[in-house]
Amino acid sequence: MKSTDRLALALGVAMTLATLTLFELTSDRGMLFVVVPVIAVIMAISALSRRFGITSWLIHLWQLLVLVGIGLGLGLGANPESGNWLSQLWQLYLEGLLHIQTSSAPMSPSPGVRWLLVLLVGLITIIADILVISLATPAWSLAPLLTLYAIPALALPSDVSWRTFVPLALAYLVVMATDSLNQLAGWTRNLAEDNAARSHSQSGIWRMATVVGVPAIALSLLLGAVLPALGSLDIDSKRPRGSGPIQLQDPTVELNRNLAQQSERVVVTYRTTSQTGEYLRMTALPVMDRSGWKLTTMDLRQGSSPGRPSGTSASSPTVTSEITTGDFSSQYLPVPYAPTDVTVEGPWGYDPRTLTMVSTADNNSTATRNITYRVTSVPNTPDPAAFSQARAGTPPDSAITKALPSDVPQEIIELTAEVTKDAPTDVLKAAAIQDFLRDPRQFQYSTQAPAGDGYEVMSNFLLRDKAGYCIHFASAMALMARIEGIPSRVAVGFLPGTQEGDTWQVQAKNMHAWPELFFEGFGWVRFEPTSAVADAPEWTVTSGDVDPSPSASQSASPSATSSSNTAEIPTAGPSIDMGDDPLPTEGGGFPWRQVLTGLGILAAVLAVAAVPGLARMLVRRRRFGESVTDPHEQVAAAWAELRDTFWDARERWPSGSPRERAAVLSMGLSENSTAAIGRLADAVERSRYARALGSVPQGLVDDVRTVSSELRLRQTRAGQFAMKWAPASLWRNLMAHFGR
Amino acid sequence: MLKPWQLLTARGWTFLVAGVVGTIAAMSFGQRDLVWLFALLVLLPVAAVVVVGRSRMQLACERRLEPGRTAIGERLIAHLDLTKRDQWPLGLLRFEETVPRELGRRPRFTVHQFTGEWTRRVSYPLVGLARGRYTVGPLLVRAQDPFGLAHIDRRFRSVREVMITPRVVPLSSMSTAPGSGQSGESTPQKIGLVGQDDVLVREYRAGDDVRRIHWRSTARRDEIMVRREEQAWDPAATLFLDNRPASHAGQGRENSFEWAVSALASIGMHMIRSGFRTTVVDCEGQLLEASSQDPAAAREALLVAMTDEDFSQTTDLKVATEACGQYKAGDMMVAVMGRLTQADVQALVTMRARRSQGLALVLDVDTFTARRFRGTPEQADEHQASIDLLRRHAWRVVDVKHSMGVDEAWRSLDRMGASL
Repeated sequence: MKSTDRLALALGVAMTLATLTLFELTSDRGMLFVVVPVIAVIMAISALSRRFGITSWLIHLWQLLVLVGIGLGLGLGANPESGNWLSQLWQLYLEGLLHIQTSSAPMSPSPGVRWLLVLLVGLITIIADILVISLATPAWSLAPLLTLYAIPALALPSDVSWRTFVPLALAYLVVMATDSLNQLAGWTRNLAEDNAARSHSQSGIWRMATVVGVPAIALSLLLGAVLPALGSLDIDSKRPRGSGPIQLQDPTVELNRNLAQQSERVVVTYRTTSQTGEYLRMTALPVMDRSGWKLTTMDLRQGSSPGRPSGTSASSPTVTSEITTGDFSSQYLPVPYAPTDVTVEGPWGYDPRTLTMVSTADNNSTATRNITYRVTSVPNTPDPAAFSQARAGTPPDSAITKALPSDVPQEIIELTAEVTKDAPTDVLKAAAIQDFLRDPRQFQYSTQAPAGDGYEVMSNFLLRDKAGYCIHFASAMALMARIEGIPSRVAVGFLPGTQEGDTWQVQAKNMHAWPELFFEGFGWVRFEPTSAVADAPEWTVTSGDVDPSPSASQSASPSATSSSNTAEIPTAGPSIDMGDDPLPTEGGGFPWRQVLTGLGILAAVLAVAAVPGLARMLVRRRRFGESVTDPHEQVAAAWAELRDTFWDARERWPSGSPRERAAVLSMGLSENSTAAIGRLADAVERSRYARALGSVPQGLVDDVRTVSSELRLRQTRAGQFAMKWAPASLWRNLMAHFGR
Repeated sequence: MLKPWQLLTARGWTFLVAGVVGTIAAMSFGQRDLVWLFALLVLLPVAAVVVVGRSRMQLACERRLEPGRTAIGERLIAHLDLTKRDQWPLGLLRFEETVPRELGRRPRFTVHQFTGEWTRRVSYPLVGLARGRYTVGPLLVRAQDPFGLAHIDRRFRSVREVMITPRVVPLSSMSTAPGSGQSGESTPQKIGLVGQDDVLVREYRAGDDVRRIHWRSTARRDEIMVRREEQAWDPAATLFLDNRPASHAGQGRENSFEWAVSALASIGMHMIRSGFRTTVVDCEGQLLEASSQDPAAAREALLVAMTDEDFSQTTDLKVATEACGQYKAGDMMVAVMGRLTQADVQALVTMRARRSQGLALVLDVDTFTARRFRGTPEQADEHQASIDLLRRHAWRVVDVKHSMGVDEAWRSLDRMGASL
């Protein structure tokens, strides 16, 4: 096995291992079946061509052409539409980009994303091949591997799993150990007989690499866990400072997490004058588009007294609640709907349209932790008889809450028409939709989200999987209501919880989402399509068949499928700007900024790595420069440069007088260099011991150059690289300088 | 013992520095996943230093050479037996044998066995590329970790001496040139041991000098008998080697000087084996007086002397002439010369003085070197004239070309003797 074969094989293995890190970003396991052959082909080209001694740049050109060919083949195969092949590829590219921008990690499988990732991995494999084999600098294989690792590491707000790190570390160690193996294999020479078998020795080096490498990886994981994080780098978000815009966090992220964990931790306790407990509402998601339900820009007002909302008369009874939060962090204040007056410490603002209370403090993401506040609210409890005749209204933000995207799948529209075909009024249509969703024969509660993405989630939920949790029931109902022309939005908050004496306790798993529909004369009215966790409000039950689901206040563990601990995140948009930026930013999409930052860091690392080489060059320039005018100093500088050159070439600098040194150094050098060293030694002797040196001998610098160029030529390519960029003399001089 | 940081290679230092900087940066940014990576970069060199520093290398090394000396251009085999007795198995070991360039490339081998104890046996060839005495060893060893981050160098103590002697060619006996008596049958030692009358005559052969007919024996035997010798002589030879650098040309083993040394060693061996009292002289004076020693010791002394023979800094033959001044009966003169000048011929003639024979192997040094290193035409002319002059002084001179072997030159001397 030639050394290049060995390196190519190791690189193939390493790149495959490094590809595993991408599964933090995408859940497309099938990608591996494409990526591994691509890596194998690229490395096979490298190994075979090098056997035939083909020039490096030609090999890489060939690899690049093959990668382009694979890209074309995959791209056209993935997108079998007719038409211009270029536009097909362009479409695929756009699709992949859109998918990246609109979904959050881990992304669901998409042909466009797969295509882009395969090309990315292929390109990085070629770069790794250049670094490791063509330039013979295996230690730099860290750079391409780090590139793959840095994408999930920097882009994801949370840390990647240690299971992602371990393959990457192994990949790097495999390359390094292979390099050592090659060095050792090339070391043996000029032997007549040897009693050791070769294969034996190879397994020895791998075992040693395991013994050194595996504990190092384990310890580094441990160290990473122990070392404190001194700060945080959230390069995605703008930090709220002063009166700048406030970042709104996506409440559904918290919702998904709490539901997935089914944590029974009590997060909120409250006393209320209401008999049935209160839904504690945090915020509402009024925007509906292809990626799901999202927040919109808020028009925050300072203060904490929103006043009575439209649709409630002054005579409506008020409810007063005293709420205490525990270990629960949010920027949204959980309040019963609709709050008219809130007594709470700290700076808070409210949005009059969604009646959301948002903390305007600097660090507002933990604003709700351990606080107690008092809320006066006006519950919106319409009279069922009057309500059943109500018509859909027009809220102030109807441009958002009534808007139905044009690309809603036809099958959902048809389903909605089918469900509501017998209902005469808008309210009854809504009730019919709620009944349809509450039917336990139709829909199952499950903490496992339906598969897919965008509208696919809704279609899969309504027509195929028929299983999901509150956010899907609420989203589906709100969407179907919009299809019927009723303004709708999805509210996020907590179920009333369980009553203990005169206090109510709300657990983390009680987090909930429900639809709110707008009716003329009644305002925003709460519906409850999730039968597994709560009863339907009485005003929405229009017929006699009250469904037999358990009562809301019990709200025990909603289903047995609590095993899943990786909730899919169906909606995007973890944050939006309020005020300045009317458009939702593309948060949660592909983090180009992070990638660019990663590349910037990489460039910085490269720059730092180049420092020793540059410093050595500066030293040389200063020694040969015009600034040294004293002949003695010139001679000494030339002699020191000669010594440093030998050190750089990893040669020994012998001891003794200049003449003795010259004799030892000349061994094995050509006549030119021998003569040059002799002249230098002579000059040094005269400079040190003669009464007068006179003028500096001519060609001193050229003599040094002659020797150094010969030393360089005798190195391997790696040796030459090390001589230039990792000059040993620099360390030795520094060490000598500080050692005394 | 080296400090731990002295064990790190450049790559190890790079890892350490990059790892520390990266870890701090990743910590300050709160990127735990990057902390893992950079912590690994810190831990790897640390682990490497531990592994390399712990391998104390309790190694024993034994070296044998077969044979202990060899002629220039010949091979010899060295055997190394390495034994490790240690419980700590780690560290990849690279070995390099210290071999002077005159004995060929340095042999190298590796040991990366995972076991704590092992024995290893390797053999490597040595080729004598230049004459001289050399030391083989010590064996150098470098232990490194599997990722090339740290290493430690050690050297064994034991060394062996190797002698690369000049090539000694067995020479054929000849009748005209001395070496084993005139007849080629009996050795000169026997002459003094037996009775004169009986043995000192033999039957006449064609070509014998009429004046040597022993009439008394002829009458008794009724056939013509001749005296073998007037008296028992004590055979002696003075060998002179011209070792002035100016007289020789050529590179390395192809140098004419090497040919001259080889020729002188061969002739000297031949003479000693043939019972001659042999004296070797070069431009620095007398090198060897082999009369008092037994032949084996004399041959050994000659071989050592010729192994150590090197160029002299003298430019004339004055010292040599003085060294050849003591004449003994039966002495003869053999000179191996490089490029000749008229002055050299005068010196040679003085050296020979009253010696019975003067034999000279004169090397045509220009044939030993590339065209551009040859002497000037004037030198060549003087050389040719000097050879002629030497011949006129009754020297037997062979003009040796590069292609000629020592034995061949010796036999031409013989033929020349026959033709005289």
